Amino acid sequence: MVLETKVFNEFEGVVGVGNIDDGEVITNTYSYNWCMEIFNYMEGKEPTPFSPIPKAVILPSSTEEVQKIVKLCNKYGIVFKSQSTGLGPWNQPSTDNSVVLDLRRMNKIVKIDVKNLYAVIEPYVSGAQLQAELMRYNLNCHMPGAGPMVSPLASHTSMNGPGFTSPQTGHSARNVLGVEWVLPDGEILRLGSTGMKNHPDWFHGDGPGPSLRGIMRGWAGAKSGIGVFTRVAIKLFPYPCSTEFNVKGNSPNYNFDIPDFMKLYVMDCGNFKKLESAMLRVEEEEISFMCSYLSGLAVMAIFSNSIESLMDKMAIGRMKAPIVVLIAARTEREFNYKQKVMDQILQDFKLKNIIGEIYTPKPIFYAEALRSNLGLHGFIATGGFQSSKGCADTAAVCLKSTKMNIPLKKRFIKKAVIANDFGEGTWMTSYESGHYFHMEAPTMFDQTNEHSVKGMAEYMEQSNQLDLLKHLGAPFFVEGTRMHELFGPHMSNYHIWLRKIKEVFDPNNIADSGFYISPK
Amino acid sequence: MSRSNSEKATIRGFAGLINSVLTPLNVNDKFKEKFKNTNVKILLNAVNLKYAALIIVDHGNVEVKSILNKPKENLKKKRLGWDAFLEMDTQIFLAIAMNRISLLGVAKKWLFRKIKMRGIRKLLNLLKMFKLLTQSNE
Repeated sequence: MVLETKVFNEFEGVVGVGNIDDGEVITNTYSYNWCMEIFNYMEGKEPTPFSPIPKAVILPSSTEEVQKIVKLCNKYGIVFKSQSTGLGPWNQPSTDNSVVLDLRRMNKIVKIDVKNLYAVIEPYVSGAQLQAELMRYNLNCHMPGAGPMVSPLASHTSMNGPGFTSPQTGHSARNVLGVEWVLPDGEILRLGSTGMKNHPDWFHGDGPGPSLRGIMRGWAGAKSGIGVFTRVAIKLFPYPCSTEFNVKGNSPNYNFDIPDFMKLYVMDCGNFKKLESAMLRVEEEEISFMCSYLSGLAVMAIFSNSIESLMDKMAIGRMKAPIVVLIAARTEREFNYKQKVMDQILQDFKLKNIIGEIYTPKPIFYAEALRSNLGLHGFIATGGFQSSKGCADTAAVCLKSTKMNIPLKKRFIKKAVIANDFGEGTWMTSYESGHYFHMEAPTMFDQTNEHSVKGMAEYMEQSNQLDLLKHLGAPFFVEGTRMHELFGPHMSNYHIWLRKIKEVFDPNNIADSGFYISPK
Repeated sequence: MSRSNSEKATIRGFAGLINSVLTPLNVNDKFKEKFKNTNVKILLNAVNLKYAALIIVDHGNVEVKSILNKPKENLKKKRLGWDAFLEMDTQIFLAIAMNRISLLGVAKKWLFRKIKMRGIRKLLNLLKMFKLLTQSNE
């Protein structure tokens, strides 16, 4: 399907020549994305990595241009799907009667308010870019586990958002302040203090009356199903240590000068009961920059950049319930205090830190930790991975989910459709010093093998069923009409309210609802 | 051993992996002490891969060589002079190396011919070596 010439010209009139393309090369390229094959198969389609092909790809450069495009979409009944940095199937249109709004020209850091600890950014600013600028002011931002290459605007407004630094920087949903939002009918809504009549500014996401942030994103975001976010203010945090960042060498074997006041602890708790107590205690003390449970294989992976370097860490993989804690400090006094607390915890729980004893990581690990860049290691073994689960709950529920997932995962390992991590492949992190926890089950599979893709999709489907049956919380990927209708009746019928929101905000159903919810 | 069957310069495939796992022992004082009087050759063959690993423990030093595992004659005791032999697929090997299978589980797999072993007493050296990898070098 292509755009009528008249419609094409109207879109082109908004963004200018060269900023819209309806040619096959571009539109076909935009129909590809990582892990699309799994979601296709779960929706009963062929397990190919392609979504429906959009009619055109449009590159707006401002909020006003986005607004005009959305109004044109309403006028001609064409669905829009917006994307920022574009990682994953959530950026894909669900119908070929669509245009993709690629927001890459909106790439500015609008404001860094050092005193009030927030930054205002546009969609195509990456986490890495923002963090590099913030370091000049000894500040840091929250980045999701996906990594520093993704858009903080996307994760803060529209996606899930646990990250490796969540013990300190929380969850994306918790860090959203003022928002500029082009609604599906083309109106512009400014949330919180940005909507004030006098002296509007970005410092707060709510005003008097009910919060709209819940409608905007809730826990997991609408993935462009409820409009386009063109600017967002996000909370900032003190940088955890010195911001001097000396990296030399070539990828992936960079060398890095580890900041003075950083120390890594990797300890085997032996069993989940002890792991839970130890993690809660570390977080109770509010000393960690990172505090994660990873399976033995995953601990091997975070220190590796190739399969070869993965396997030489097999001794680490023998750990049954490892906990990874990174402490960082700005002063020697703060560092000494944190180390003393960790020493006491090690003594109380009879734990041994293997770092420096059994294994010493390369300095680049510390750089990757500071840059929230550990997620990439999930791709090392097979080239493809996706996570099942994804609950946010107590440590106990997260660990119950971990345990119950092992026999299920083993069944699919036996079928040789997913990689063998002994069923244990899990990442669990605390949020905000242990106030609540996140758990997901990264699973490696072969994207190039149909048998493996189908197996992975079936595993995810059964994992969802297990979550429902055993009350293990809502997984990450409850998105799209089918999944909301599956989980909604078990969760206070939230899907009915979600649908009402969709109908009110998007009366013409123009914002792509593929990863949100369709109207009646 | 013919030159073509022994890769001196590069350690290939599965043997390379075993080499990566075991060579840290060469700087492990506990290993050097415990194995100072040990002289043993263990052949480890992963049936689903091309190269077998010949592990040579020589008085506190460990070395790994890669051996093409086909034809079968390449792996004969007469040819390589091994003292112990262990054959399985890589998944079982991983489970043993990463301590995810009990001795009972190993025995079960041996009964069902998923694992083939010769020279069990000498093979215990391998388990001891894996265990040493997880202990600090104090």
